[in-house]
Amino acid sequence: MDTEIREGFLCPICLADLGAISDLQLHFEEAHSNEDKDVLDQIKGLFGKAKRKILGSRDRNPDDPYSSGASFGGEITPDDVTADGLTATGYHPSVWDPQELGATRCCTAAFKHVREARLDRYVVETNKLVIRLDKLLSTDAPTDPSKRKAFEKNIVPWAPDSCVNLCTTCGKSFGLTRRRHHCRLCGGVMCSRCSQFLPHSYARKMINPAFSYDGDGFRRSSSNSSLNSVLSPDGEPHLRTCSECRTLLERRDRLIEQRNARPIIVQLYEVSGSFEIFLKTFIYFYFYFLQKLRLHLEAGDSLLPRFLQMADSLSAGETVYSLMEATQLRLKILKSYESADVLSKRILKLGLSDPDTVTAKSAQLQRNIRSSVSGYLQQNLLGLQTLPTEKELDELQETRQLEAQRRLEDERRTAEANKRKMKPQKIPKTPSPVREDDTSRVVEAGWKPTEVNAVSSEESDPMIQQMNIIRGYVKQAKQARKWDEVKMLEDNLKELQLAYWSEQRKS
Amino acid sequence: MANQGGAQRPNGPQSKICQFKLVLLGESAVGKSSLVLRFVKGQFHEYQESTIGAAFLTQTVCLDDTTVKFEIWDTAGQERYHSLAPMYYRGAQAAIVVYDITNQDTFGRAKTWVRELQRQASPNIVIALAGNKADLANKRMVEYEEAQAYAEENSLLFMETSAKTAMNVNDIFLAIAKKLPKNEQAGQQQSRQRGVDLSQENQPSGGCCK
Ligand SMILES: Nc1nc2c(ncn2[C@@H]2O[C@H](COP(=O)(O)OP(=O)(O)OP(=O)(O)O)[C@@H](O)[C@H]2O)c(=O)[nH]1
Ligand SMILES: [Mg+2]
Ligand SMILES: [Zn+2]
Ligand SMILES: [Zn+2]
Ligand SMILES: [Zn+2]
Repeated sequence: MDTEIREGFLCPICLADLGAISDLQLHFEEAHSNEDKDVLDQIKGLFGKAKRKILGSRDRNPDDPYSSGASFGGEITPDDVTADGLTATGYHPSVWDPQELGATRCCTAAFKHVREARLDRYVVETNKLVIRLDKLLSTDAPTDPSKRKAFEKNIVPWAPDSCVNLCTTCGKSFGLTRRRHHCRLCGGVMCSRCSQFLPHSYARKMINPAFSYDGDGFRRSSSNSSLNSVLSPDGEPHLRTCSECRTLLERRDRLIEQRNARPIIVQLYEVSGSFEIFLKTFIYFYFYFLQKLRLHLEAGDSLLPRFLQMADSLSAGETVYSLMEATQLRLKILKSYESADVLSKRILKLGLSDPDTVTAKSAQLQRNIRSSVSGYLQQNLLGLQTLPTEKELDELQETRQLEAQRRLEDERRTAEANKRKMKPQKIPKTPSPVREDDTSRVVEAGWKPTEVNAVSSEESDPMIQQMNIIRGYVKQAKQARKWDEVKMLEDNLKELQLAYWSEQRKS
Repeated sequence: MANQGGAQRPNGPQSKICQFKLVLLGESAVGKSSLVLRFVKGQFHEYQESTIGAAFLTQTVCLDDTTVKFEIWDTAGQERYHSLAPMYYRGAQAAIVVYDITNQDTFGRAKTWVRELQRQASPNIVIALAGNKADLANKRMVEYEEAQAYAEENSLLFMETSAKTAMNVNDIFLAIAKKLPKNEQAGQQQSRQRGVDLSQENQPSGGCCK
């Protein structure tokens, strides 16, 4: 019951409150990119579980965050909470698992509530008001006006009359004609003209957006009577509020109304039907994985050319780069590609536990993503040739040195010979036709990659087909260590991609 | 450095390496792939598979003091791949337009390709016309003189070839290599990436193909 409620843009790992979604993202990338994999591991299978849970708790009101004692963030086991209330160790499967067995309440509404609350700087205040509203409207609130007042004061203490001589809103002094009234939400003092009434039905909607309300919001205060501060003329119970509290609440209400115009990822938090939650979660993770996947691939790709250059240089016996540098770079690339691989597998498995949710088309798309990623990685990983060992490197460098010395010697000798001959020996270039005595000849070792099986079916786009072919060639060229060819082919692949994208954009 | 071990360096320090992009165009089954296979691998297949998309090959030839590396793009003749062709002839320094001397239609198609190249490819592109399957002289449908006249009009290199007997195959590629501008300027004019000296690191004298 009294577990600490933590809310806001909390980091799922260290529970730090980051204030804004962008900051949270940044923090997460920076501080926890290593643990990322573990978190993602825990997400695995979430969909099936989530659906089961949500369906199982349908009888309860999924939108009422206060209907039971559990609260968002309340499932952190005490072991993981340090003195200052933050988890020190981050999530671990052992923390995650008990959740499935323990509370089975849907936390969407609470999460939604919490998240909504951090959207701007008014939110803390607004949230406080909403929580108070919730208490004020609780079912065990007395209906008898005098008892009711005490009940309300108990929840929100009233500012003592003696301290306030002027209406805090209009600044007019209180007296016999202008009586003091208290805002039930902040306890502040104002005059009757500056106060307004919040009907309970509207208030209920404020706490719970799923609660429908078709009145017209706050009502102006119509009389001074003490009875009216509890019941409106038409008999509906209401609450007296000051204009500040009203503004905050109305603002919040507007934001909630606008939620349908928000982007899909935001809407994810606000869905009401359980099936919808499932679907949107699916979409959310789909995009999340895809984005991550792209980042990892880009990271790997951006490092690869440099690595190839290093590897080449090293195996040629040059001393431009250090072996350690190259080894580290190689590891980095491997890691990026590994993450991409894992992510593409995740995408493939998304929603597999619920075949009826995943349409044939999306499943196809997922399969395509997986297969193209794995093909791409295979090919690039092949390019990640192993580096020479320390010992091999020494030998290579020695060979190169000898080679260079020999060449210098050669050059010196030919230069001397030329000096002696004096006459330059330029053979004039002859235009075609080819003569028999011509020195032109074909060098025997031409290079031809073996046919790439362009798996695509007949009707597939020739451009895509061609890109696959070129990727296959790149792979072969890398294996053959034909770096000129790798370069030519990669240039062509880029060209093809450009052409393809611009075509896609046109259509 | 990146080219270490990549290009074959057949000659001593004298040799300069130029790289050129060459594209093969022509109706399906005229023998484009067979020609390059002969040129690059010295092989011929009676049952050569029809090309999908565009195949890639490289071959290096030596002129007297220059090594020319051909980056060869063997395009598919089938109609459905025609959209790919511009991607390959656009940056090319040379093109071989192939027809089959036993099939008049393929000669008509070759002419269409030549026109397209003249309009769309680089203005300095070296175009060669190859009348392939010359070994099938008894089935000849396109006269040598007709093709030669056409080639002259359009200042194309022209040879009748046979991928099967290897007749004129190396020769046509060598003739192209000779016609290609091999000084640095000309090579770079066409495409900044092409025709550059890949061996400069070994060249105390500097400069390409002089
Ligand atoms: N007799 C003879 N047959 C040839 C010659 N060149 C090619 N062929 C045959 O002609 C057929 C087609 O040759 P390909 O090289 O596949 O033709 P292509 O122009 O590449 O065709 P696409 O790839 O479809 O554009 C094959 O069966 C070859 O064996 C030749 O010089 N003489
Ligand atoms: Mg072919
Ligand atoms: Zn954190
Ligand atoms: Zn107030
Ligand atoms: Zn007032």
